[in-house]
Formats: sequence, C-alpha cells, structure tokens
Amino acid sequence: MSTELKYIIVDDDPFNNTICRMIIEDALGEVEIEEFTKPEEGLLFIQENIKGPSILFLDINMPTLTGWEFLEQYEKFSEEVKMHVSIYILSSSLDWRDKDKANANKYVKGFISKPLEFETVISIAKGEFQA
Amino acid sequence: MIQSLKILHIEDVQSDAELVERTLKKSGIAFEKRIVDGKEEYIKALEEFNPDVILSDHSLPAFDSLDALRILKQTGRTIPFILITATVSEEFAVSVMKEGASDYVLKDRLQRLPNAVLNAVGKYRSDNERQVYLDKIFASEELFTKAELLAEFGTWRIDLATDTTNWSAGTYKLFGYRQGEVEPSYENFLKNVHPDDVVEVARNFKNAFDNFQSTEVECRIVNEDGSIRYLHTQFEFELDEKGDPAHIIGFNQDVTRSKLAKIEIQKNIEELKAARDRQTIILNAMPPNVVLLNESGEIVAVNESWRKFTLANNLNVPGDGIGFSYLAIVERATSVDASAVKRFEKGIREVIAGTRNEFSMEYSYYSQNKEVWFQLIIVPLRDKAQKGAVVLHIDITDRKISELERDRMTADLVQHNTDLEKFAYIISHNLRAPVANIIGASSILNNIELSSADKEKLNRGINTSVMRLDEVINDLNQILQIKGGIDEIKETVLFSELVEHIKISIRNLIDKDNIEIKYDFSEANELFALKPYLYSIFFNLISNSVKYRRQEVHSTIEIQSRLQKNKIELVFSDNGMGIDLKKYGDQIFGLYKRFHSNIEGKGMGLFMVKTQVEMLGGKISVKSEENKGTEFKIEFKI
Repeated sequence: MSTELKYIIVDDDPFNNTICRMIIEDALGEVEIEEFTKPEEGLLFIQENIKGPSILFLDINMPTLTGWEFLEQYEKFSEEVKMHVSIYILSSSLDWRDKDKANANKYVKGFISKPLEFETVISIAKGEFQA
Repeated sequence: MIQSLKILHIEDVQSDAELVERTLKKSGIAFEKRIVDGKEEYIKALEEFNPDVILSDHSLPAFDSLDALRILKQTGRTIPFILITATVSEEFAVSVMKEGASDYVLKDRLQRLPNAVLNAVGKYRSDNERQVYLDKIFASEELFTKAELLAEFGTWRIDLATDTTNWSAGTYKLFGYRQGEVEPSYENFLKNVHPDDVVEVARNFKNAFDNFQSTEVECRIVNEDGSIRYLHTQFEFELDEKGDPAHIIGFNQDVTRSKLAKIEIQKNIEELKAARDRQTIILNAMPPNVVLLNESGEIVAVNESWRKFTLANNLNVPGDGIGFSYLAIVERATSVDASAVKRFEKGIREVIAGTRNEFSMEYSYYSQNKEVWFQLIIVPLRDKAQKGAVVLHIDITDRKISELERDRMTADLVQHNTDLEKFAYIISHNLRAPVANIIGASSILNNIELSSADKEKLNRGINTSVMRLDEVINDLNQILQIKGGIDEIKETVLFSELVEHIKISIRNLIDKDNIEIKYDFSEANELFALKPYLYSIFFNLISNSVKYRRQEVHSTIEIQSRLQKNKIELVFSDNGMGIDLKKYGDQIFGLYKRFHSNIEGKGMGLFMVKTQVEMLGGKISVKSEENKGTEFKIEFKI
C-alpha cells in the first residue's frame, strides 16, 4: 500500500483535468493522479480505494451531480475514509457566494479559482496552503 | 232625656217670683231657676249659671229690664229675653222688643208664660243652628273659590228660562278676565278665544245648543297680557220636569300644563324619531353589514347591507333574523370554512362576555363561484339600555384581490430576479470556464517542456475552449434576442401547422425509431402570437421528447390543446425517460442544466422554452416520473 499522497480530480470538463494533471506532475513529479469526469464514479472510487492521505480537487458545476451534492454524499462516508481526504474546491466561479459556501463546509480545506497553478500545488503538498 | 231648662229670673218681689215658678212647674217644664235682683248679681249669674233663657221684671230698684237686655247683648250670648211686667204701655213693650227682647208676658196673664218660654227657646235654638249652618256654607263657598283658583277650574251656568249667565270666579279667570270685569256671556267668552280656534269653537257650541247635546270643547284663550292658556270646557243640559232643557251647566278646566307637557312629549318623540330615522339612514347607507346583538347573542337590529347579504347567500332568515340567535345563522353559512366559523363564534362569545375588547378577523368564501373576502369586526355594545355586541362584516374583496395580485407580482418579480441572477451566474461560469482553461493551458505551454503529443493535446484543448467561448457568446446573443424581440409582429399561428413543419424537419429521426407524434387541437388550434417563439417552443419540447425517449418502448408524443374560460392550455406528453423532479425540480428550466450525462445537449432547450413562453405572457409547468414519461403544460391567457 502506497503511503504517497494520492491526487483525485473530479470535473466534467476533461480538458481541465488534463491541465491539472500536467501542473501537478510538473510540480511534484511522478504522483498518483485519478481523473473523473463523472462525479458519481469519483465518489465510488474514494469510498472503495482511499486508505491513505489524498487530495481531491472538486468542481462545482457538473450536470448530473454538483460539487455540493457530491459533498452531501461524501458526508455519509465512514470517518476512516474521510480522515484521509483533503478536499479543495476548484472552480471557474468568481461568485463570492460559492467561496463562502465552500469555506463554510467542514470537509473543504480551501477554494481555488481555476486555473490550478504550480505554486498552489506546491503549497498544498507542503500543507502551507492558505485560502 | 230632656235636659232641664236653666232659667234666670230677675225679680225683687218674692211673691211674684214664686208665682212664676208655680206657673212654670204647673206646665210640666223641667227647669232650674235662679233669681237675681241686682246688677252685679245678674252679671255674675250670666257667667256662672249660663242660662238658656232670661225672664225679667221690668222695674227693679237697682236697674231695669232695658239695662239687663243691653248687658246680655254685650256678653254676645244669643239667648231669649222675655219681659214679665204688671202693666206696660204698648209703646214701651215695642221699644223693648226693638232692643232685642223675644217676647213679653203680662203678670195677670201668666198662664201664657210657659208657651212663651218654650217658643222663644225653640226659636233661638233653630236660629243658632241655622247660623252655624250658614257659617259652614259661607266657609265652604270660600274654600270652593279658593279651590277653583288653585286647581284652575271653574263653572258656568246658563238659565235658559231667564237667559241669565253665571260664571264662577275660576271661570272668569279661565276665560281671561278679572272677576266681575265683564258681563258673563257667550260673546265675552268668544272674545278671548284664540283667533285660530274661534271658528271651530263657535261651530261646536252652535251644534251643541241646536241639538241640546252635551259637548266637550278644547281651545286656546288669549289673556290680557297676551299669554295663552289651553281651556277644556265641558257642558251638559239640565231638563225641567217636563223634559225641556232648563239650564246649561259648564265645567272648565285649565289644561295648559298637560297640553304643554303633551306638546313637549310629542316634540321629543318626533325628535327621537327623526334622530332614529337619521341613524337608520346612515346605518343603511353603510356598505358593511351591521348587526346588533343583545347579551344572549340574539339579533336586535340589522341594516340594509345585511338584508341583501342574507338574500344573496340564501341564509333564509325570516324578518331579517331579528330575534334569532346570530350564532345559529352563522352556522348555517356552510360556504364559510368551518374553522373560520369556530374562531368567529369564539370572538362573539368573548366580546359579549366582556373578556375581549374587540375581535377582528378576515375570512373568505365562494359566492356564485367567486371568492369574496370579508373583514369581521366585533365590538362590545355597552349603553344604559342594553349590553351586547355590534358585528360588522366589511367586504374587502377588492382590497384582497389587489393584495393577492400585488403578492403575485412581487413573487413574479422575485422569481424574475432570481432567474436573472442565475442567468448571470451561469453565463459568467460558462464564459469563465473555457477562459480558465486557456489561461491554464497557455501557462503550461510557456513554462513546461512538453512532448509533442502533450503539446498537441493542449493546442486541441485551447481550440475547443475557444469554440466553447464562441458558443456561449452565440447562446447569449440568441437569448438576448428573445428577450428583446417581443416587438416583432404577432400573427395568428396554427398549432397543427407548427407540428407538421417540425415533423418534416426531424423526419429522419422520427422515421429511424418509428416515433409516433399525435395531436388533438380540436378545442383550440390557433393563437395570436410571435410565430418564431411558438415554433421554437414546439420544436424544443418535441425534440426533447425524441432525444430522451426510452429505447425499450414504442415512443409516442402527444400534443393536445384545451380551451378553458380565459386561457388556452397546451399539453405535451411523452412516454420517455422522465426526470426525477424531487431532485431536479427547481433546476429543470435552468440555463445549461443537464440531467442526462450520456445524451448530448448543452442545457439550453428548456431554458429557451421557458423564456419564450414567459415572453409571450404564458406559464409553463412540468410533471414527470422517471421511466414513465414527462408532461409539460403551457398556459396562455386569451
């Protein structure tokens, strides 16, 4: 079992996921990255496969399940799963209400405006990220 | 028992005295006798003996009979004085009689004495009695006159035989004269009758005199000082023994006081009536229904509006419900909600009982298929005469309708505003997302060594993002065109024509999957509207049904029009995949909302439909069940 940080990206826009992967790999080198364009599949993966520390970049606006609905499902997961996952909202939204809502959620570590940047990935990895 | 007479005898001769005594004894008269012969003794005896009769000798040594008579008169006693004398001249006897003696008896004719005594005593007694009687009469006449004047009445009398008229003191006063001022006559009576009453009085009197008929007459008398009194006179005819009228006896009464009191009362009654009439007019002119209740909740009074109200609502209360229990009538108003009736009853009870100062509530019910609103106000009635309550029902339907209209408009505005915010949010998101991608991708391209495959990937991604941007801008343009395009020309659009056009344009899809499109526009087949909008609405709804059909069933799409009172309903129903409205209900018409990730679409269709329906002044609603189908209903006012 790998104790390396695992990265999970949930966004219906595949191009965003490609960009994220390239930025993360550029910043941290070879790490485990899982991409999901269907949030339901992302949820299932987390529930079944997360046994160690991991970082989730979650989009808000997705057609079948929004980021908020995703979080409602996630809340029902066991503490064993949830203790490993650090969730960051990664959204193109510029709306302050989304940012407030994200910060008010106890499972969300921070709100990041797209696009994901090199420096942001480094500071998250070091545990120095400040919203 | 015969009382014995007390006889005082003035005599100085013993033998003469004894002779008189014997004579009287012989006649059987019971008496007691005292003999005096001096002046002092005489006066003393008058006091002490108190005689019934005095017998006097004429000449005595000390004084004579004339002196004795004068002394008697001085004492004021009215008792007989009889002179007994031996011989007397006629002249002297006459002079003594003139002085007041009752009789005289000669000594040689003493046998006449007993009769003379008895006669004299009898005469004096009856004289005395008559005097007492006369005194009484005089006293009562005086009293009567006083009574007449005090009690303001009077009498009059006409002797028909002698044609003489008498007025009593009270009558003089009542006829407006001082006593004895004028001759008592009918003419003088008429002189003081009020000019307005004279004709009537004369007519009444003439009629009575002509027919010898007892009559009552009332008239006004004008006094010397101009003051006016009301007189009631009543008279009747007295007949003689032959049955002919002999006298007319009249009785007058001053009725001014009772007359004025009556006039005052009448005036008060009229004023009260006028005041009550005014109140009734005001009460009846008031639009609210007004009902007055007594302490036991029974109706005491109602106004016109209440009458109309009971008629309009078939409450069927006889006599406007006066005397009926108000609560019982309220319970009959079945069209009013039962819980409202309960609150209502509680309010009335509490206000009447005094545990509540005022009660007010609003309620509605359906009258002739229209919802009408009333405000109910109950206030206590606490005047001197009665306790109870005043119940007012005020028709507030107009106010309520405008309130509801305002609420609806406010809700519409809030909804509109929310829609606009969502729209702005979605647009900004959908513009921002590709832009963020382009920024991210170009930053990688600039800063990171990449394989040519990765470079190619990013370039393609940037290209897609730019295309998406362009697409969003085009959508935006389209939406803004709808919003601004309401000024275009309206025309009569035939529903069947629209459906046939659409069927042709998507013929390939329909044929490929054997999709059935049925329509029934028999109730309404046209609408005066903007044709491109209606076309777009029909196209989007039909193509959605095609897009989200279920592969496992034979797909049918039905479109039906219904003509309602003041609107046309268009119902689009299919047997497709349906949608979970519990989950997505509030988002179904949202821009870029998509609920099926495996079917292409960008979430514009229903947003456009809703926008266009609303631009045409309509409403759209949806019913759906997953794996059963979806039904859209559009309403247009006509």
